[in-house]
Amino acid sequence: MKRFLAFYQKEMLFLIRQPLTFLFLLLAVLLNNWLSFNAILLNQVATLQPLWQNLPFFFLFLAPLTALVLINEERQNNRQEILKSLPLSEPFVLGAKITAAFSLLFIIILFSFPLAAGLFWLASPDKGVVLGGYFAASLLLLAYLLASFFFATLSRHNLAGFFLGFLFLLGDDLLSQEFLLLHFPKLGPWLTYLSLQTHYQHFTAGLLTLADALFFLTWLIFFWLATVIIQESRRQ
Amino acid sequence: MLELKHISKNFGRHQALKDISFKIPAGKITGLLGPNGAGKTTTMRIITGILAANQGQILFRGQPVEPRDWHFRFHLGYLPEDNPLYDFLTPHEYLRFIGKIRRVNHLGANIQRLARQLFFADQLSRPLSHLSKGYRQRVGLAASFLGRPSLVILDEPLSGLDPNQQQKVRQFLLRSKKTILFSSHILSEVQAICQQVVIIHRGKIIASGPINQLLQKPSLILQVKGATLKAIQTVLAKAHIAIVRHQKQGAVLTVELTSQQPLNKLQNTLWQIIRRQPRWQLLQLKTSRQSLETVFQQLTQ
Repeated sequence: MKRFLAFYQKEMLFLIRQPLTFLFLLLAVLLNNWLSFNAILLNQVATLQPLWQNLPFFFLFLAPLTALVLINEERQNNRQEILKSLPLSEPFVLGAKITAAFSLLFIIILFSFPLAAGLFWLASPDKGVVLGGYFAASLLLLAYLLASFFFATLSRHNLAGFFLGFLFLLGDDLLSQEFLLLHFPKLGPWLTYLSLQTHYQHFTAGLLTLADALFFLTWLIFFWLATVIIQESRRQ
Repeated sequence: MLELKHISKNFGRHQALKDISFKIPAGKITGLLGPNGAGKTTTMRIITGILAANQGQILFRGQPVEPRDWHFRFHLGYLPEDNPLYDFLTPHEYLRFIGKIRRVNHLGANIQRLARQLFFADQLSRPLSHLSKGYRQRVGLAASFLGRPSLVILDEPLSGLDPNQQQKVRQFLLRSKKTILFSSHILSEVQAICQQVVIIHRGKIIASGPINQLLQKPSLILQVKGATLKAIQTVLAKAHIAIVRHQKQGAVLTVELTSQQPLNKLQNTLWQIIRRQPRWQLLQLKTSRQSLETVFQQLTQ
């Protein structure tokens, strides 16, 4: 555990010593809260649905960006040579990097708590749905990060890795859109089911089903194993 | 301590290492020498598990090991050629990170001791990005010695250091009494530090053994008056004799020679060559103990 914390600390120091990290985080927190707050006021409904709808758009951009930055950190000046000579396994390194990325981006979720607190002060929203929403948002962030790390590792070119991750997540988001159901009545439901967003939306609506949980779990395991395999193959 | 047996490594069609075998004895400093692209760094990367060998076996204390198994790497310290460091950390943070990953006990005391021994104790709190190449090299060196690893692998540890720093690092390495595999282009340093050398050329080991044994074969020193370097080079090249080193003082030219011919035959050849040159006056023709540089050039040219 001490070793994991040491690695995690190094990753966090790297992230927080970049001035751009604060700029991106501040922008994301302000924009997310402002957009969500406005939508809640307009709807006049005691629900955090606008927040759950906005968060994926921020993660869509920030998850591949954070993955890129953390993978590039090792590639820069051939630092991976040091890393690969240390007594560390690939899952250990990946785990520490993902935990650091998750901690950083979780700040966006964390700073939405005043919104939830305000909602509870003004009205009486369903506590279970709100908690389910926070759980779903955290799970979605983790899933997006794992996919982003996979694409960042897959490509030796940093920007290509970022764009692949971004386009993949954007594609996943588009699959969940209603126009698919309208234009492709037969294929639409299947395609929509393949989107992580669809299952996320079920969670945020307070529907906790085994099928949705299994979908998330499959996604997480697939991208975790695929990334570890790619990392290990780089030692050939 | 460590033995490489029949190691081969290919990068696509290019064979970087061709069936190399050598031993790194415990408690000794072994120099790994070779021209650029000979396969030194590839060998070191295979030992540290950064690369996988296509063939061969590595034995550690007599037992076969798989360097890609991360547990084995607890025994190793490694300083890569370009010494990549995490510039956003201070030397103290960096060494602390490496020490924790290596499960080093009494980490703070160990960091202080190494920083004192390598003369960067006053730089521990400055960001690595602000340090000069000499300091960075010493921080990298300290990291490779942290946790008392059984084997320390140093790829060009003296590069970027001024002569005073090189002297300090040399003292440090000699005092450490560790098993070290050391590569360098500064052959005089290798001769001064290493107890045994392995010379690698085009992916093959062309010589290995205790340094004294390698340097036993004498070389020839020829001193001539009235000859130019170019003229002597042309004449000697025709007889397949190479000049390893030369020095000119006024009209006197001194050259150190090397050839595949036996020493007595080489002496006769030289007598005949000089006799045919009326303007050249032979001042001296003597045998001399070879330097590592001479052996290296002889083997790799």
